[in-house]
Amino acid sequence: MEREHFAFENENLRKHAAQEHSFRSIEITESLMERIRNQESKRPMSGFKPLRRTALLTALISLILLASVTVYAANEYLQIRNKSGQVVLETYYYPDYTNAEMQNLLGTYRNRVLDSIQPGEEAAYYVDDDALNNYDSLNKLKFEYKPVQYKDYKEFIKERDRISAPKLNQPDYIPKGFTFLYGQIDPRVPMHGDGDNSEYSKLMELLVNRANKSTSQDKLFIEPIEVKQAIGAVLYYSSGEGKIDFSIQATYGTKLSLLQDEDIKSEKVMIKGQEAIYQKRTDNEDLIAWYDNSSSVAYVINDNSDGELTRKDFIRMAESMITE
Amino acid sequence: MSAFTLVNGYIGNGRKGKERSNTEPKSLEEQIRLVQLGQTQEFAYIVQIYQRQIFVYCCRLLGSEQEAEDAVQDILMKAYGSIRRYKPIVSFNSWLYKIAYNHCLNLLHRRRLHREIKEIFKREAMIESTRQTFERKAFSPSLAAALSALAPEERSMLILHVFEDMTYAEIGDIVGKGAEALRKKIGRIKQKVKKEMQQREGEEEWRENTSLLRTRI
Repeated sequence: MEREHFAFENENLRKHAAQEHSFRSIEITESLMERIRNQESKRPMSGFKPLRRTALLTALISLILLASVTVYAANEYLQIRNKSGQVVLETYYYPDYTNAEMQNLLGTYRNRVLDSIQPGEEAAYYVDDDALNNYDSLNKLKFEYKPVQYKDYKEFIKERDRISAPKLNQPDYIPKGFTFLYGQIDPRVPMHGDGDNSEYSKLMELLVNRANKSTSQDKLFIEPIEVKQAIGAVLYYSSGEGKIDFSIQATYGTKLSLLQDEDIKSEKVMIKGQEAIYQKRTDNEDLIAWYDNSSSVAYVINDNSDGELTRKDFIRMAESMITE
Repeated sequence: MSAFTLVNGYIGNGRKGKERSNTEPKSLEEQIRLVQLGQTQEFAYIVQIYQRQIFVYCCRLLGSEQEAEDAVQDILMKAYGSIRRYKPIVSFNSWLYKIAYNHCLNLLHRRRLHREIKEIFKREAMIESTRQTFERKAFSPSLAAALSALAPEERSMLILHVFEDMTYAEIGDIVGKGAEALRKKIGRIKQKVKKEMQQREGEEEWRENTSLLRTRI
């Protein structure tokens, strides 16, 4: 029997892991049933609509278009510059950070803030903890946003335009078997470098003052903020069952940096005169990225389908999005 | 009064159809059927059975007990929403784990995107991934390192095979692949993990921690 065949091998691996009893207990029955009862009372259960696989739009790839894609030699560290010579797209090596306890603490506070807001809402927060703020010194004032999932593409476009998000549209070419799942907007948050009298510095002052006056033991101070502008937008695609198989994101910025390590092979490609970087990864989370100088928007198409997207798929999608 | 008591209380209230005593529990199949017929409160029984094992699965995959608890809620909500379409062509276990698998993969993918968006302005210090942090408590250093080198789908298949003790057929129902292909794939994953672990042997001694840290990015 196959279970017995691997019993010894699996037992060796199990010895390297915490046992099931080590995980804390969980009891969510009442809260979940309450959630279900609330949902039932508000509207009839709609259930999950099976995704229909839409008919393919066959991309008109001609010899001319193929010829527009030029491939450079694979290289580890790559840079793409704009006309002024500034680097706008590059790969980088991931530095080695540790300090697990600090990360855990940050995570705990982050969760509390997320619990306090609804989809579409954003909050600024400050933790009155010197050790934590020394560790996270670049981000003493933190922000969290709970996104809305726009399953209706038109609603996504409406929100995208309302909040001046990058003009991310569905590509003309989508690989066979994938359909739009939902879109999401990423809000701009006040920045550390915005200067004096900026929203950032005012929020920081407000929350630090609140912390100084507080007599409570709680170190977390939260202030809801209005979402006025977007910094990015993402479209998610699926081959079915609600699983995200790939995503396309567009973000305003001055430079995009892509992780580079020994498991990632980066390659410069030229698509309709636009330089891009294609990354082939051993974890199959391949991607293609480019920076549009005219709109100051970085685009990234990420594969989450365990390698179902081919290099050709990436290039054809990018081609159908890039205008000459 | 616990939800489970309510379920038993309903049995005792003389509903039509098959008579039952107050002490005789219904089978899982009967509970599923009742929920499909509109008896919402019967779903509590299914939650009671599955909440812990789905939670542990999510903990190992997501690397955070808090995130796993949120995920369990969402997964069981999705299961409730889809339960009318469930047919016993696959086991309910596999059907539910498929929802959990897809949900967790979506979270892992969005987590990586979220990190990449923040990196655009480099306004946040580079942070150690949640998986790496959690793994130092839930897994030995060598297994933690080996797992972090796997793609989320590979990691999930390994967890289902080794820790959830599922057959290739059951895993196949969850991830949508044939049993034979999975046998080969999981074999390769284990080889990868074994090789990675052998390279890291001799690292700091690991002791299982009874209190796993709660963390997320």
